[in-house]
Amino acid sequence: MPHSGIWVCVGAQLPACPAPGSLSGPWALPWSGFLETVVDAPGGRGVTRLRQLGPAAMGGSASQLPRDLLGEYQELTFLTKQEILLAHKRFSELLSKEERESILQKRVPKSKILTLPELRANPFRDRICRVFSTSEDGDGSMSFEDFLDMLSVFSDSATSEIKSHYAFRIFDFDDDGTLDRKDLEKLVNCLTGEGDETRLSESEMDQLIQNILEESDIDKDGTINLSEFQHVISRSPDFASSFKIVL
Amino acid sequence: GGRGQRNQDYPMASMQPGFRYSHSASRPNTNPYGNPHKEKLIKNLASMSSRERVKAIQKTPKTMKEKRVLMEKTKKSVSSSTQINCCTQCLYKTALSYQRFKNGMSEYLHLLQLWQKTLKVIGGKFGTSVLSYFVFLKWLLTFNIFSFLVNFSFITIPQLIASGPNNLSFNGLELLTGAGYFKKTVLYYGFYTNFTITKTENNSSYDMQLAYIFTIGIYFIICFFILVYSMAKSFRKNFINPQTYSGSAAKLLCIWDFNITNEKAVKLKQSNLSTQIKESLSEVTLEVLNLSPKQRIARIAVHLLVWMASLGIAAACCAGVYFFSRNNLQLENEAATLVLPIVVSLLNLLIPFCFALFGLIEKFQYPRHQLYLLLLCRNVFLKIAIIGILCYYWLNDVATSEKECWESLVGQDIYRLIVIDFIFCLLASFFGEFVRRIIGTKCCKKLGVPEFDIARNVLDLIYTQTLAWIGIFFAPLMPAMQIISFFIIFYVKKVSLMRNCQPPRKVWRASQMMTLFIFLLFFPSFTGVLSVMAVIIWRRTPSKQCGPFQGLTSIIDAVSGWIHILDSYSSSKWVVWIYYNLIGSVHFFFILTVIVLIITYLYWQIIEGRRIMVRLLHEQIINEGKDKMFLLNKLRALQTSKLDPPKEQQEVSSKAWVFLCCSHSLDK
Repeated sequence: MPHSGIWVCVGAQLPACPAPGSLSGPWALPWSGFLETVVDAPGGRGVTRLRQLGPAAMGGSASQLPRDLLGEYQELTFLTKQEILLAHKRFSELLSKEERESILQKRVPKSKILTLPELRANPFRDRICRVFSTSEDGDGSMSFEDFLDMLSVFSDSATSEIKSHYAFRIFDFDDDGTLDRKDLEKLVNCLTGEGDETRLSESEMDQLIQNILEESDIDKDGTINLSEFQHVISRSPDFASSFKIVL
Repeated sequence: GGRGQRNQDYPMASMQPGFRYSHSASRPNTNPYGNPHKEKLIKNLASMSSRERVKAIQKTPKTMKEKRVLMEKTKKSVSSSTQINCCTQCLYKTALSYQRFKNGMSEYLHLLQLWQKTLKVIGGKFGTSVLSYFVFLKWLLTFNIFSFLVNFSFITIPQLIASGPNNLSFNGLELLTGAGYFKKTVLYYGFYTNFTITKTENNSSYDMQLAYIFTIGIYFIICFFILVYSMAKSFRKNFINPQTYSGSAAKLLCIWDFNITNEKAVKLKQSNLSTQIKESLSEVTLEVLNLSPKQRIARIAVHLLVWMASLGIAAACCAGVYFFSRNNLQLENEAATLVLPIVVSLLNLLIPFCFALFGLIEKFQYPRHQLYLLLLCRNVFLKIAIIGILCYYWLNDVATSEKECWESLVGQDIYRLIVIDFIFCLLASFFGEFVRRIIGTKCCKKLGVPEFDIARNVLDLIYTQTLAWIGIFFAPLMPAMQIISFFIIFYVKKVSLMRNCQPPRKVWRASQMMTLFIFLLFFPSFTGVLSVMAVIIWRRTPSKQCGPFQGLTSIIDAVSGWIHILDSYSSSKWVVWIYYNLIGSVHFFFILTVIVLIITYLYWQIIEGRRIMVRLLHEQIINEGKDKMFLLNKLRALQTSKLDPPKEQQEVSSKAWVFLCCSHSLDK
């Protein structure tokens, strides 16, 4: 949506700990800028207090992000300063208290990343972790920089090209550079869910994949490569706004 | 390739969208095969300005570590190769400090963002399409906040300083009718003076006439540019020629909404998608049906009948509204003035249901999304008709009647319309969603939980905003009411949504509908308001005894009078010149229109040319694919043949390999 005009603050909101689908009460006032919740242990309830501006805002025993590193992250990703600081806060909540000192060297295992409410319910959560993880063991654990990379691609200001590039990588379940029939089958299963009623029968699946390949495979080699995928994406203007995860 | 290195298996030749196959020198090539490409990439990056370089590096799909290494290498090569002279250094420093200032500002603005958490929760449970309604509401709110601030500071505050006493009594009915006590407050046009307010200490004077007309005029001009800019941005991003829209199957590749974070909503969406897929696989497409001429005529006849019925209903509504409004002029009782707004709101509420019933008749003839658009068309037409007849009544009957303060009367009318519409909106939310949910879950289980009707709600918002824009001239503090009403509507709709509605079942083409709504906000709504303003300013005489323009023959005389005064000062002759030769002359606008038309025509031709280019390239890719399959088959045939291939066949096979490799790298 176009941003224009002047924003006005009216009142304050007390944010509860994020839980899926819960409101902060029907009378939650609109302006959440001045309060923040500090969480001591991952998944625990938070303590609400006034937000402090600036780099001294990290509070508690969490380590602070040095200023030059912050600037560097702003240059290398699409995230704004507030988003990077928020990511830092949420990432450090996933670590135990002792590990928070050396947040930049630590890797968080996949199981902990998947406890984030933004990823917990997503059918593609495993693939997302795997694609953005730079761990040599291939176990899907993410460092803070991987986490920032992920948020950058899923942010508001990322370009459509980079989003479609990473969407391609996420949907390429066997990492071979193209979307072949098996990849498409797994994709459709993720979209329809694992329930018995929602699963497609074999013949329906075959027919559907045939239709998809007919419509998107331009050079008729039986697979969808990156350019063909980006061509399909370019015709769907909703893609950029739906391929978004915001903390 | 291990999972550690992300780019090994991804031979990406270009990071541009599929249409641009030519590599221009300024765009870096991210093919990661070996060092020579990396050197070229660094060289390309070094030749760009620093801002472009930052953007280009942000866009490369590499890990953070690799991007950092790239950045360092580029910086090294930049500092070693370029000599910065003091001019560019100055510019660079100013640009840097401007960037820092912008970052700082955005940091503070970010803190003041309204409703961020709420919007995230709504998006997480209901998806992007329902979220777009609330974002639209927030966007309209900023228009009203801006208008209120501008009007309050430039018009109301000076008036409050120099205002007289109000000796009317206040009883509760004023809140609804807007008359009575409010008649003599800053709420309405009639209260504002036409004097030049002077403070006693110094000689600075404040001309209320000019302040009034310029404040409102400049506000509308700014709104115009903001709307045109938003509309253009939205069109560019979202407008797709319907014929080139992907078929329904390929859409599955980009259909998943990553915003949804609620587990139940995810499961619901998955089951909806599954149902949709199964339906579309088994559906007989409507276009395949071959209709006999008789059936075709019957179809057209039904269609025409329904359109005539809709037009007839709209005309009947207009007549009814006009009848009630003429009655309004002769009313003495204050409470009876509420009849007109109640009638208008009831019509706005009930007639769309009639149209939906008509839609049931046509249901079997049109695909669902076309039907939706058709319904939308009819509702828009109804609302335009109602506002049109009201404007006609105000401009023709009220303005030319001999009433004492006709502008204030129009302002009161609009106040009542907006207040009653707001009350009806709350009631509709209560009955349409809460009661419907009770019925759907307790009494008639088949109906189920209602869905949030995005189009109807957005049209209601556009309708109210149109009335508010018309009302700004007659009641400068009208935006304050809109602000309060939008705030309350946001919370009521949110609570109703969370408690009573389910996420939408059908995928909604959210961004294209949003483009349509922004266009509707501009084209009938805002342009209509501008036309009404134009008629009032140029063609209607202001009332003689109240308001800032009392005694003038037309409102524009205030401006021409001022220009006349400016003429006597030599330092402001350029203003006079601009007024007479540019704004006041027909030739200037004619030439401007011709230039705009020529530019539009040129852009249109460019788009046509690009479309042809796309089609040719598409065919080229298909042909390359066919060539590749042909050569692969030939190779297989050669390799499976038992005899040793003779020399020339060997040559052919090696040539075929070379060609294959070339075409492979071309299309990857």
